[in-house]
Amino acid sequence: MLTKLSGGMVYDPMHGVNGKRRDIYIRDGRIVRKPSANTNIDKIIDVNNKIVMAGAIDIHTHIGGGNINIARMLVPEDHRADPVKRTKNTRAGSGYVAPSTFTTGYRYAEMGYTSCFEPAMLASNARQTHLEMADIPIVDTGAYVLLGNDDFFLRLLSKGADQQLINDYVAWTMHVTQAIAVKVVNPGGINAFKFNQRKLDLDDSNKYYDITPRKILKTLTRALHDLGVPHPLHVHGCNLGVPGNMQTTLDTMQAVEGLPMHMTHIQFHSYGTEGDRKFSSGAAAIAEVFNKNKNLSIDVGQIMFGQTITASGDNMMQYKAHVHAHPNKWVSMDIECDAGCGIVPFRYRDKNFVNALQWCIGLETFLLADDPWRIFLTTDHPNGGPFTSYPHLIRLLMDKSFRHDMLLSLNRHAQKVTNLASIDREYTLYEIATMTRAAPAKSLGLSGYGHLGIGANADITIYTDLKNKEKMFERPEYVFKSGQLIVRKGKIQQTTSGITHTVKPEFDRGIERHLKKYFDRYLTVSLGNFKISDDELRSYGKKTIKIHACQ
Amino acid sequence: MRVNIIVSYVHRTLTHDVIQPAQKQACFRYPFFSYFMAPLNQSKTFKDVTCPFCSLLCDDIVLNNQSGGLTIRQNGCPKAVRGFQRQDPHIQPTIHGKESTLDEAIAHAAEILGKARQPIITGLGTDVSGSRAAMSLAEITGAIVDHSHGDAAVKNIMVLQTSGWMLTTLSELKNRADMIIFIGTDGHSNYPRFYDRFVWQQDSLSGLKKNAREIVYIGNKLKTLKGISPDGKKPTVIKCTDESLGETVSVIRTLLNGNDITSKSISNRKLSDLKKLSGRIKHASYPVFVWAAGELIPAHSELTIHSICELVKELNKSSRAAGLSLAGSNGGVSFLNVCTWQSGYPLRVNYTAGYPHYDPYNYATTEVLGKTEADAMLWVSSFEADFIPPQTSIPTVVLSRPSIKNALDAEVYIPVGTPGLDHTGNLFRTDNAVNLPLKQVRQTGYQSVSDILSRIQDRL
Repeated sequence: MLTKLSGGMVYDPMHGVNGKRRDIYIRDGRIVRKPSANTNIDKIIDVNNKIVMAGAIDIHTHIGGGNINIARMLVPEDHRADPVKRTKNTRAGSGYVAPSTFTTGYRYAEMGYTSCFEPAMLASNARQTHLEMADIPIVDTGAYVLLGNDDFFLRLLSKGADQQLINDYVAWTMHVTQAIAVKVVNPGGINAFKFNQRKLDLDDSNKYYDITPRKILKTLTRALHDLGVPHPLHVHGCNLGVPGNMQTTLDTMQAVEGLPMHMTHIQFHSYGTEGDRKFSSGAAAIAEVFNKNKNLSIDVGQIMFGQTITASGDNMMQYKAHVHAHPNKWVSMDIECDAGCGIVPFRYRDKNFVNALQWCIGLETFLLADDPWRIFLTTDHPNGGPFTSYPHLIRLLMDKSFRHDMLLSLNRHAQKVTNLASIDREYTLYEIATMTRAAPAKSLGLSGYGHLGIGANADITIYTDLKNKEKMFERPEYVFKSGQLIVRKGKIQQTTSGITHTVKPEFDRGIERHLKKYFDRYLTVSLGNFKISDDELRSYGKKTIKIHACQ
Repeated sequence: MRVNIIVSYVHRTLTHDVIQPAQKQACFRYPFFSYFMAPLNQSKTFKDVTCPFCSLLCDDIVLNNQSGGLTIRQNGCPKAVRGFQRQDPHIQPTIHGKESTLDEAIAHAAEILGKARQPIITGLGTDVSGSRAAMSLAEITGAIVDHSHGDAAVKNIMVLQTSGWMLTTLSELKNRADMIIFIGTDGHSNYPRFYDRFVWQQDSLSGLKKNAREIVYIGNKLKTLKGISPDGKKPTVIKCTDESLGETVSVIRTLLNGNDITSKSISNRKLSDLKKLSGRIKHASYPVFVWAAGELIPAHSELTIHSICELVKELNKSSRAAGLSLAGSNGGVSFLNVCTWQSGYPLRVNYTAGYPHYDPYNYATTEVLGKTEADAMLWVSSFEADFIPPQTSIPTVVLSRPSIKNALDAEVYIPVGTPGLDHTGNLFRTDNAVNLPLKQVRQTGYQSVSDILSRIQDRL
């Protein structure tokens, strides 16, 4: 079947197309060339003057796995307030800040998102992560496996293992957990917490292994670079949420000596200690270094006011944060000599100085970072706020007067210390398309995604151009997933199953000799059962595994 | 007792076809067991087999399949032996106790569930895919879902949803716990290999030596022999009645928080004993507090678990400590997880209104059946053949590991395969972090719970 999307205004930053009227042709799930004049077109959809972009890609959203499922379990009140009925083509569900899996998929698709990446898959919990993602309909998924707090890695490092062995281990882990990238969370800190250390700055040593976060970051960024994994090390740095952590962040930015690195939810790592309240914005200083260092990419982790729940592998810092739990219940776990998890419900209040300033810091970061190819739009769902707040966030970025009005409603002390009011920048549609489509696809190495070129997977979102960008982005006119019409006027038309994105770098299988000994001696799962085969992964429900190329 | 069950010897390959009508039929006296694995006279050894018969999910089992009969060669325990080596009778589905084809049974089950205004789907002794299929069926039929271990699970869940907790997992316990405090459980009566696999280890990642752990038991009539270290060091045993377990924990919590207690004895224990114990807990680097919700007396269990969890949180202000919950066999942890990610709630969800409605008390199986609030029940027990559904007068559809008893009593009975024996699958472990794959180690032709439930759903 050949479908023509006729007359839309196309924003396709991968090809430098900035609001040009173009027809798009879809056949067999892909974008194809304009057919010859005598070819029969089965369906023509008039999208005259509508805004046409590739399907959006969320590069960092906690949608599947043990952490988010404990979060779901912890807050029945969140689900009671937001029940989701079954319809003839959608499953029932619930939840607002920690929605059920089906609801997650529908709500992403309804906003025009077609791929979502879970950034914190514990290797020891990889099955659960993939099982949950298999129950997230429509959107494609992928996961970043956590390394850098597991005892195997830290032992290797403390014994001075050579980089090649580390690389083999990293690649092996990506293979057996079916990952697309690697993330490190509070490098070495989750492990140090198990030995009762409460803080681990960039050059502090894990007291058992005598390894610093700096060493971990250098080793892992090198490994991913050597292996040619497209997405660089995804770094949740030290000292999350601690006033004064901006210096750690600035030091971290320089710690990898020019190798590629992605620093995630950087808003939570951009706090200074100036002023009467010893809490200030580090966004300007961090944006300045970011702008100069082209090896870096970031996502923001914008906070949104209201109730949410924070779910993180970083139980060292989440333990600290539990005193702010709202409602007052929280979970922390040490997990499998691998990593941990910390779940703390939280309410961001616009009249609270710290929360208001956090909001400002996120927006300052967005507006001061000058390259939308290296900065991605996230709220670190659900940590800064649920992903359903993205349209609101896009409006804040695109509409200066709206942003200013919002600012004026916040805590007054926060208004005084932020420079947000003096920033005039408004993101353009082209920049939004870059930040939410082209750039994440490029960063993850998703060939055939995030653009509208010939041969691309036909993940396409079509909006009516409205002045109110929140309204525009929350309810696309059409969403196509692999060429199939999924959403019309914000309503799901049919549900499909997305695919799993992975990369599988080459490595020396000899690493399993070391691992077998380690597993038999110390762990509680056999090496063979740790691995998730392609067949097993497919049996969960997502039938296609796409292996993207290493570079 | 003569039973009207037709037993067949048919050797079938594993397909998704309808179970064929019996080729040879005969009546047998109960009890009846047959070997029916195909092909005959072949022997195959399986390694790294995951045992699904308790929530420790030991995955180092070595077993042999000789002409369909399974024998554990290495690393078994009584539960594993009973579970793997049971020779399941080869029986047909039944309707009102009379043999039927699988198609007929599925159609009849669909009719019962389709007609019901408020079905309940419970038992749910199944794997992840069986739980997923049950949730889907529950949505379509507007059913309540619960689990056979729901009464115990809900005690943990209430603590979680009220105040939360700090937990650990089995590998962490194995490598870090220098002190293990068992509260109201001995750890091994229901989890036979707990000590062999996780406690008395040669060495550890944290430098903890083989005999270095201190084992403490708090409770009544606990079997404490396993707590003796390989070099003969005896465990500390704090005896108290089941009813005073919560009180004893609270006293320890009070002492750990540096508060004074004036009474000289608590629950017939000398306070000085508890003071000594508290002192040692305080100095441990990674004490782990183990409880099993299902082994605590129900009226007190939620408060006891809450006290344990708050104690652990408070210890963590200055040192490390963690809890470990032993629970969720019979696919329990798997069901809680699936139910949570699909509905937002861990169990006891009702889909009558089209969306999941959660009530951890009123949607308990015993409540629902006791008040006759359901008009049909689907009971699933794919690990245990003779896990009999609760007594009820409403029409009952039973899916279980082949069981003659169930086949006689249910309105519709469908024998199903056991995950990890007859088909592959996944289960969650007690620590709610690890999920392990299950192997297929024999061929019986019995279909999985998820296959049968999907076929029932297709008829609706």
